Amino acid sequence: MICWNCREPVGGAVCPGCGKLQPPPPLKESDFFSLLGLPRKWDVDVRAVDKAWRKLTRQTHPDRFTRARAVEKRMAQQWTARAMDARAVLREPSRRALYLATGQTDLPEQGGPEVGDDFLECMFELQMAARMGDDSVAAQVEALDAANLEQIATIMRRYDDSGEGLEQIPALIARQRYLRTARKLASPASE
Amino acid sequence: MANIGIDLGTTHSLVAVVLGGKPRVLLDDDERALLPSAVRVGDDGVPKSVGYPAIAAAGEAGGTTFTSFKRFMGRGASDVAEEAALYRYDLVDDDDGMVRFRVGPRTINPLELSSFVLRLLHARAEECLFARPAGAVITVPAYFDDAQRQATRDAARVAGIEVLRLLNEPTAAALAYGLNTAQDGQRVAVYDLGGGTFDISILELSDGFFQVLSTAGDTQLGGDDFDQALAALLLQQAGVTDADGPTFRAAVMAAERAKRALTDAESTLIEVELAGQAVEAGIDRSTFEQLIKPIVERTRAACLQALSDAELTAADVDEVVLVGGSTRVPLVRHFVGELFGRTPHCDLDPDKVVALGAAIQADLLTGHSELSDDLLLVDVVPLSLGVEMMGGTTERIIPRTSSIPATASQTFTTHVDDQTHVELHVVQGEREMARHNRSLARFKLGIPPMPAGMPRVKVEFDVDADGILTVSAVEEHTGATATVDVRPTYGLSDDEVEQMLDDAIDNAEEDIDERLLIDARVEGEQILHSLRKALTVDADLLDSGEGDAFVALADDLEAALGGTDRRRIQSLGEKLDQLTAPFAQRRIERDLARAIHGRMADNVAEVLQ
Repeated sequence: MICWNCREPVGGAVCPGCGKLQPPPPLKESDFFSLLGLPRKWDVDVRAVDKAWRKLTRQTHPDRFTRARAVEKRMAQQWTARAMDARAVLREPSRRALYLATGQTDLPEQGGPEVGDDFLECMFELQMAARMGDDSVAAQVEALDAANLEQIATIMRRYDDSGEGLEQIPALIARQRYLRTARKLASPASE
Repeated sequence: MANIGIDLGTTHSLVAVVLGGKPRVLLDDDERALLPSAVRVGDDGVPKSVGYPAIAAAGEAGGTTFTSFKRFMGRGASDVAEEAALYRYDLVDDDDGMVRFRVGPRTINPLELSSFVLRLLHARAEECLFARPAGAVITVPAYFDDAQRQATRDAARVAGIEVLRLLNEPTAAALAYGLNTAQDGQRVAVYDLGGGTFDISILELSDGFFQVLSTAGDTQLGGDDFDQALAALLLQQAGVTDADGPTFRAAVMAAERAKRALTDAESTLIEVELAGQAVEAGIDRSTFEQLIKPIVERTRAACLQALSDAELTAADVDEVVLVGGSTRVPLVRHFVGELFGRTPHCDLDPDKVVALGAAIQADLLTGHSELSDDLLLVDVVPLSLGVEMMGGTTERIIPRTSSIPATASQTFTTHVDDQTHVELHVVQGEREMARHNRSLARFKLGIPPMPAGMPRVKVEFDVDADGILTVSAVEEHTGATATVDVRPTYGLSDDEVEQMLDDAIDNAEEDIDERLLIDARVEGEQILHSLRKALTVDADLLDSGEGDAFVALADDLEAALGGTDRRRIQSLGEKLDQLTAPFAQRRIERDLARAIHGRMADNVAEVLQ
């Protein structure tokens, strides 16, 4: 990459030659991992994400460019906003998994992947039981959620080694959403 | 050159600056730090005095002393009808829906009143520093919405002050306490009860980052309400049933004095002349506390909201900081201590702590801070930003407590065949129905006629580090250039600001600071030089007519560079900078495309070898 101001070659967010902020990479060209300079892996330490985010934000925050020209201020805002998005997604294990599997940061509000008829039936039964005042529902939901999470983690760890096998992930993430609703129903007091 | 920090408060305002590595509040000729946020306007509509003289003249005939006008900033008359009745102000709605006060033959808006206060503080700083301050950080309640922030920024522009940053008051307070030097992972709650606003913010401090986790509050709740409640009691005891403006204001001021006395004393005697009769009333602290307890209690819900937004409980908070003069009231301290289960910090003067923090941030923004280069503040949006959907519901685009700056976009379509435009109504707030939220702007986007559901209107929201929103919309599907017609509901256009600047009373040109002029010339020449170079190198990227507009403005700038009018040079430079921003963007994009293309060519070469 060449600096837009002084035409020197530049690697990072800020030109080492003239100190000008460079435009953020095009969205299609860079993912959240490379933006923060992290390896494209699911098993990431949250502290490493925070540290990488702080490092980038310290360089690119608009506060560092209060006297700069409009173009540079605008770029500072874009960098910082994008770093915020990257951090928010990469901090959450489920969103990180979905992002690696689909490139999306969230499931669509409507539609979304099939979670399986067996699972839906199970959710329906739990819901009925909760309505009938069965107080073991909360514990059952917790157990299902833990098992679901474990399954996600197993798949993701295998992916970290092999770089493949994420087909099931969107459905598993969608199941989490059902489980969250079920949890609210089972213990409305905690919400 | 120094940057200053200004706390533009509801009841009083201050200015501070970092000198010798320490933030200091600047004093007036009588060694007073606080400037009452009060402006006296004569019945002829001409502003007469600002600060203490305005307060002293409050009861006199021949004019109106305006106080607490911060509560009216960026609001419509219908939003503040209740307050206006309390203060006995005569309100009119502006053409653009913004509230104005009627006084004599003319009207004046709260933004102008604020600009008088700002101008005076700026002049004080200039006197103390023997130089015009380069720029200012101005504090706002964290809970201020977009319209209120815009109004604050506009007030500074009218006062001729360059705003480097709008800083949230609680964040400023945390900075002033130097809590950034505390250990990593500390959480701080800042409870800020001022004259007219209440804010609660939860911050997390780690590794030089001051990150706001959540914020909540009430922009229409403060110590003024204590005064009002006590004044109502006074008037009732004196048997005054329909107090006129001056009588009411006299009662409020007597109440305010009593409130102060009751901070240390168990009881006090109020002596005041109301509607021609001398009134004497004794009041003790417990009566006062009974009276204000419901008002203090109203802050509880916001505190719990902020904690829950930050996914914390009161026990997770390591430090509690008190800000705002109203936190001197013993009942308030007791309430906060109980709520968070720990003794709040109050070593710094709660009236000064925000200004001190603003000065620290102003110093950080010089880029060569005396204090620390490693500190960074990351704030949040206090209220969700969204658009109105079919059926009047609100679609959130940027949810509240998102860190700023933030960018988000969403794509919408039409519901009727052959629509020639879509109307976008931008709102701020948490309510489901758009009409219950604050209306920020209405956009009309012209589109080519297409069947319903075909157009793809991409709406982009950008919130800057000041918490101010910019909205843009484009119809993507046809590739046709869509036009956006922006009509801000609040805020001022550049022309209006110019006009107000001309109207301003003491806008006599200050002695021109030689250095500022030179700075402006250097900057202007740099802009001219790089633009002219770009125009020859990248002429093919110009839209039709664009180049002519650039050249015309560049010629104006060149002519101005030969003169000595610094403001003209600066404003033309900024205008040119803004006008050419899309062109610059296209040049950058082409550079990027070239770089990517270059890389691909390299790869191909490798394969061939």
